Amino acid sequence: MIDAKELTYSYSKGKKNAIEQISFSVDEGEAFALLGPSGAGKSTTQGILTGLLPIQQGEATVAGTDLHHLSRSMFNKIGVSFEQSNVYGKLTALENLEFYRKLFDGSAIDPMTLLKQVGLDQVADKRADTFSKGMKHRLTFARSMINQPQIWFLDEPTTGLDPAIASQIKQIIKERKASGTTILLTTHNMVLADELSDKVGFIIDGQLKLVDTPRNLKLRYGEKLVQVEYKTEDTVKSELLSMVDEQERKRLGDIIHQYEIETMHTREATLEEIFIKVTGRGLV
Amino acid sequence: MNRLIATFRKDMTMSFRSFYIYIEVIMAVIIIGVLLFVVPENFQTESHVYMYANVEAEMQDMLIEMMNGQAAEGMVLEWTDSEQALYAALEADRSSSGVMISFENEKPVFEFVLQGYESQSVRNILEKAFLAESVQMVSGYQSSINLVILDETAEKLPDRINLLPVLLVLNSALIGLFIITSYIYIDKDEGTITAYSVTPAATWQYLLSKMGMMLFTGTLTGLLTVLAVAGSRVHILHFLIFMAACNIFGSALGLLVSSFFNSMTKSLGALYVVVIIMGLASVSYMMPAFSPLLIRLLPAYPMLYAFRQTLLSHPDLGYIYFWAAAFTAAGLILFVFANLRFSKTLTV
Repeated sequence: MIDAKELTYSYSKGKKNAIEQISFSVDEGEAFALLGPSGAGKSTTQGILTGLLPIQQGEATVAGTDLHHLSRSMFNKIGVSFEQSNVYGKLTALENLEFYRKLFDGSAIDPMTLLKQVGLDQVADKRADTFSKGMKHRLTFARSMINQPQIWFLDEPTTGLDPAIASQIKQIIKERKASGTTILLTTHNMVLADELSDKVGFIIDGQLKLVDTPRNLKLRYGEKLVQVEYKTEDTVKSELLSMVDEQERKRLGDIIHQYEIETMHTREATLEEIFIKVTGRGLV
Repeated sequence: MNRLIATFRKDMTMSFRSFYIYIEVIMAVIIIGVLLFVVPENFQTESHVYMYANVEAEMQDMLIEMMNGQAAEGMVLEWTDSEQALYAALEADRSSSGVMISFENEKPVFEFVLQGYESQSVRNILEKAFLAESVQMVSGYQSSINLVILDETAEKLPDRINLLPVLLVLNSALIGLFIITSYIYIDKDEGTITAYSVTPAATWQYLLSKMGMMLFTGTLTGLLTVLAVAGSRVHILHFLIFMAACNIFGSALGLLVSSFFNSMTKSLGALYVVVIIMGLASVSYMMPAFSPLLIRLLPAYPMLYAFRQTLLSHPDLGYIYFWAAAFTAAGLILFVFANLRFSKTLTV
């Protein structure tokens, strides 16, 4: 459904590339997460694939459309949820969705159904400029589904949302994924990527460093860890120790013998830890 | 077509919920108010000349009677009792002039008292006018001036109505330059252009909808102004067609200019220059003697005269429709260029 080959893009006429030689593909029904810190090139990549930025170098096909010969009909097949909310403040939530529904060919989802899904049905007739940041974000998210897209581009879909709403949004994404929607997720939230994606790509300084499934990455780069909390004379201390490293295994043995253990859990390395290990950089 | 209609309906709804459309309507109402209640139907063309005759009483009465009878059209002679009174009257009315008459050796002596700002040519005209008036008093004098009117159908509009084209061009025809740019930057700031760009709707539909909105408001305010001020004198059909053509041109020009800038602040300077240059045409319209080629080449120049034609009893339809077609064609060409530029820059 998405095929990107050696995409290179520069905002400064070739002086500095925002992305360089990016190649990846996303199959039908697959969820692919592009992970990286701010300024890594995630949004530029998504901008090119959604036709917002012109393709400068490389090849890309989205829903069967060659982006060198962009056709407006491609947009009937895709939906884009932006990181920055961009709804018409002077229109109500319902009017916003009603308007966008008319721009697409084919069947669209009933706006009220969408508003209900994202918890905005009670404020359907209120103008969007009276909404909180989170409400605008949910409206932007709802709008991206209105044409029942085959390919869904999600840019930081849960950023800035309270945990309950974020969980609701994740549930909607999971349901659409289960129904066969192809998803390209760009985020710096590794937990979200781990939970929703079939495949992840680490992008940093405009270069795609690695593409694989979260499971393979964990097997390849992760190590079994033990998080232990123990009591010393007057404080509770916590340590994260590797079960692969001999010294750290010995340290765990010492702690167990010398101190009173409060809690002890084994856990896998997170995607964030693997990202840092692979790229040598954090996510902020 | 459905997308264009949906976009236009959305834009109209939003414009009625924002203040720009009300600014246009309020401006139209202010213009109507000023034209109807401040500007007289015809500007005063009378010039006051304060007179003082330093002669004996019987002579004075005879002089007053004679001079009043000979006063030229538009000249009002006001007689004062003394030299001091004449100076006081001149100080009170700075647009007036004064004449003191006395006799020396039984010959009349005219002494002109001017404000000081009059040019040499005005002074000469004044002197010659008095001379001409005196010549006419000579018995047996016959005027050899033969007046030939070249255009028997030439029509003079009342001054108030004659001002309408200037205001129509600035408030209704060219207002699109500023307002259409504002609407685009509002969409840019809200990021809604980006959202619109990932739908099957094309850039030209987005831009055309904005032009449609300008056409609606420009025509509405123009019609409101012209009906309130000129009433049934205006030829509605010709006026509407010409107003639409000017609006298409103005909005497309606004789109093209704003496509070169990425913020409202940056584009304001360029738009201001464009409007000021266009406004120069009104100088020639108000003072036809000053019509250099550079001003006659400005699009606003034929706009003013074509609007004037729609207010005449016998309008020159050829002139109106030639320029209506020209502005529509120019507007469409500008629109094509603006569309090409915006297709590349609207979301970048």
